[in-house]
Amino acid sequence: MRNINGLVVKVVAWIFGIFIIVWTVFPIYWAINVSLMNEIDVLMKPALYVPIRPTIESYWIIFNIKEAMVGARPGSTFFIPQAAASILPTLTNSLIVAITVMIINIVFGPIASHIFYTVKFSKSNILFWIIVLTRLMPLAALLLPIFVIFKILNLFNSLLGLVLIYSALTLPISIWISYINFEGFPTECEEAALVDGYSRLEIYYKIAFPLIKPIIATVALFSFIFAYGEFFLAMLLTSSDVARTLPVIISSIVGTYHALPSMVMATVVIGMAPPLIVFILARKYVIRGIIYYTGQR
Amino acid sequence: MAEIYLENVSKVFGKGTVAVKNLTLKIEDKEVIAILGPSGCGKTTTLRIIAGLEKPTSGRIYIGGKDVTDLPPKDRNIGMVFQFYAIYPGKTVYENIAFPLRCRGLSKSEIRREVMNIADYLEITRILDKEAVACHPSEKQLTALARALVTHPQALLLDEPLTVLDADTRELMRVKLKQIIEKEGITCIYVTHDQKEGMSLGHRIAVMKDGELQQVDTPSRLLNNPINKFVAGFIGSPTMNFLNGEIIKKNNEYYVIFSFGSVKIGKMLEKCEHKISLGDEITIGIRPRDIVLYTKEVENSVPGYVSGIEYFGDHMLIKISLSSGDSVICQTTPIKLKINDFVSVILPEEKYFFFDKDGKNILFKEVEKNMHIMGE
Repeated sequence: MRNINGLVVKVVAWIFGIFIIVWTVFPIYWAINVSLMNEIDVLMKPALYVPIRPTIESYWIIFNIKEAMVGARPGSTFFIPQAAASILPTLTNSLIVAITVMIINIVFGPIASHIFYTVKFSKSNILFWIIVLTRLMPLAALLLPIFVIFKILNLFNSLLGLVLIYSALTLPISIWISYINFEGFPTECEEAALVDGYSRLEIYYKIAFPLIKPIIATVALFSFIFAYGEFFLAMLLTSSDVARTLPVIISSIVGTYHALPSMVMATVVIGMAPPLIVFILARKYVIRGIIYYTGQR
Repeated sequence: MAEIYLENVSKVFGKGTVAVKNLTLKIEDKEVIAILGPSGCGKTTTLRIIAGLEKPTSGRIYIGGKDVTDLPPKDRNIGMVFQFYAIYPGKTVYENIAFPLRCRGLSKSEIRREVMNIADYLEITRILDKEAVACHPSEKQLTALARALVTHPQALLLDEPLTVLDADTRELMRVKLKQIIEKEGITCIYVTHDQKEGMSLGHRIAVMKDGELQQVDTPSRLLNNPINKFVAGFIGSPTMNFLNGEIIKKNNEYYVIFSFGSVKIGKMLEKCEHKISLGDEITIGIRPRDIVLYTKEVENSVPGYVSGIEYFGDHMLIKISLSSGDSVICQTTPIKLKINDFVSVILPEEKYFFFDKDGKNILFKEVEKNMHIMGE
C-alpha cells in the first residue's frame, strides 16, 4: 500500500514538474521558433512547430539595419518598420538603465537595511516601514506625482529619469529582502567589531557583506529584471531613442497596418540574452541562498 | 598603567529609564573587579559605557588617566568579551582572532605570530582552522577571549562570558579564566549575576542595584560587613534570614525583642558606629548556616515546625515556621526530618547582623571572622 502511495506521489510530482517546465519553457521555445521563420511561413495554418525553411533573416535585419533599409537584404521580407532601426540603440539604453539600477540596488539596498538592523536610531522602525510600504501603493496612484516631479526636474525622456524612478521602485524591496536576511546577524558581532577597531562601514564590508552574498545576488537579479523589462513607465516617460527602452520598441514594431511576428520574436530573443547572462552569473549564489533559507527555516 | 576611573557616571535611556545612577568607581591597575547585581541593575550598561558602546548621559570616564568619555570604542584600547560570544560568522577561529589585528597595519607574518602566541597560550591551537561558529560554546568563548587579548589591550571587559555555557564547562572555564586573567596581569572588569563567579574571580566586587552602586569591597568584607540589607541578602548563598525586632535595655544589658521572644545581645551594640536608641525598629540578619537546629526543645530555643525541605546531598536547607509566624531558612548536614516535624532553633546572637530601619548595617565586624562563609 505504502509503495503504491509512494508511486502515486512520484507520478503526480513528475506530471506537475513537467507541466511547470512546459508552461515556462514553451513561450521561449515559441519565440525562438517564430524568430527563425520568414514572415510568410509564420502565417501558415496550422502553425509550424518547427520552421520548414529556417532563416536568420530577422536577426540579419536587426543587426544590419542600414543595409536592410536600402534594400540589400536576402530573403523575402518586403517591409521594414521604422522601429526596427531603434532596436539596437534602445537595447543599449535598456542595458545602461538596468545595470545602473542594479548597481544602485546592490550598493544601497543591503547597506541601508544593515543600518536599519544594527543602528536602530530613534524612529528608525517607522522610517523602515514607510520605505517598504511605499511599494504597496499601486503604480497608477504614483503616476501623477511622478509626472509632476519629472516636469519640475526636467527628467522627461532621459535615462537618468528612468534610473531614478526604477531605483525608487526597486530599493524598498531590496532593503526589505536584505533586512530579512540580516535577521540572524548577531548585533553583538557589530559591537565586538567596533571594539576591535573597525568603523561601521568597514564592519559592513568585512563581516556583513560576505554573509549576505546570496541575497545580494537575488537583489541584483530582481532589480536588473525589473528595470530591464519595465514597460509602462518607460512608455509614458520617454519619447525618443535617446531614452526609450527595448520593451517600448518591441511593442511599436507592430503597427496599425503591419504585424511582423518573426521580427518581434527575434527582438524578444535578443532581448532575453542579457537577463539570462546576469542569471547565469548570479545563479550559484541565488541557489545557495535558496538552499540556505529553506534549510534554515 | 591602566586604572579605570568612572566619575559620577549616569545613563538615562530614551523614556526616562535610569540605568546607571551617579556611579563613581575606581579600578586600580591590574585589578580584577566583578560587577555583581540582579538582572537590570545596570551592570552591563556600566560595562558598555566603559567600552564606549553607550554614551553616558553625564559623568566622565578615564582609562589610564586619559579622559575617554568622547572617544569611540576603537580608540580606547580595550578588549571585550560578550555574553553571546559575538563570533564573526563565516570566519575560521584563526580569522576571528586575527580580525582586530588586520586594521592595525600589521604585516601578515606579525599577525600570524600574534595569533599563534595567543592561541598557544589559551590552548586552542588545534581548532584554529575550524569554522568558528561550529565550535563548542566554550571554544567559542575562548576564541572571543583570544580576540580580546590579542591586541594587548589596557583593560579587559567581560560581560557574563560564562552564562551561555552548561554547568560543567562553566566550572572548568571559570578556573581557566581565572588563571588566564591572573597570568595576564591585566585590569579586568567582570560583569556577572552569579556571585560564585564574582567571588572566585574578583579581587573586589562592586554590588549594584537599580543602577546604583551599593558597595565595593573584597569578597570576605562583603560577606561579613555588608553595607546594607540588600547586599547582605544578595551576597552569600543561601540568602540571609531577616527578622524584625526591637532593642531594649534591661539591667544595663541590651536585648532584642522578637515576636517570639527576646534574645540577649550583651554589649555588642556599644561598638556600633551609628547611634542606636532604645525602642528603634531594627532588622536582624542571620545566615542559614549559623542557625543551630534541634529536633527537641532545648533551653533558650525557639520552637517551630518544618514547612519545607530541600536536599542537596551534602547539606540540606530546611524552612522552619516559628511559633510566632516568622519563618527562617536553616542549613544543616543531612538529618532525618519530614514536613510538619517539630524542631527548635537557636539563633546565636554573636552571628547577628544589625540593620536600621533604612536597611543600613549598623554594626561592622572584624573581617577575619567567619571566613569560612566565602568558601561556599
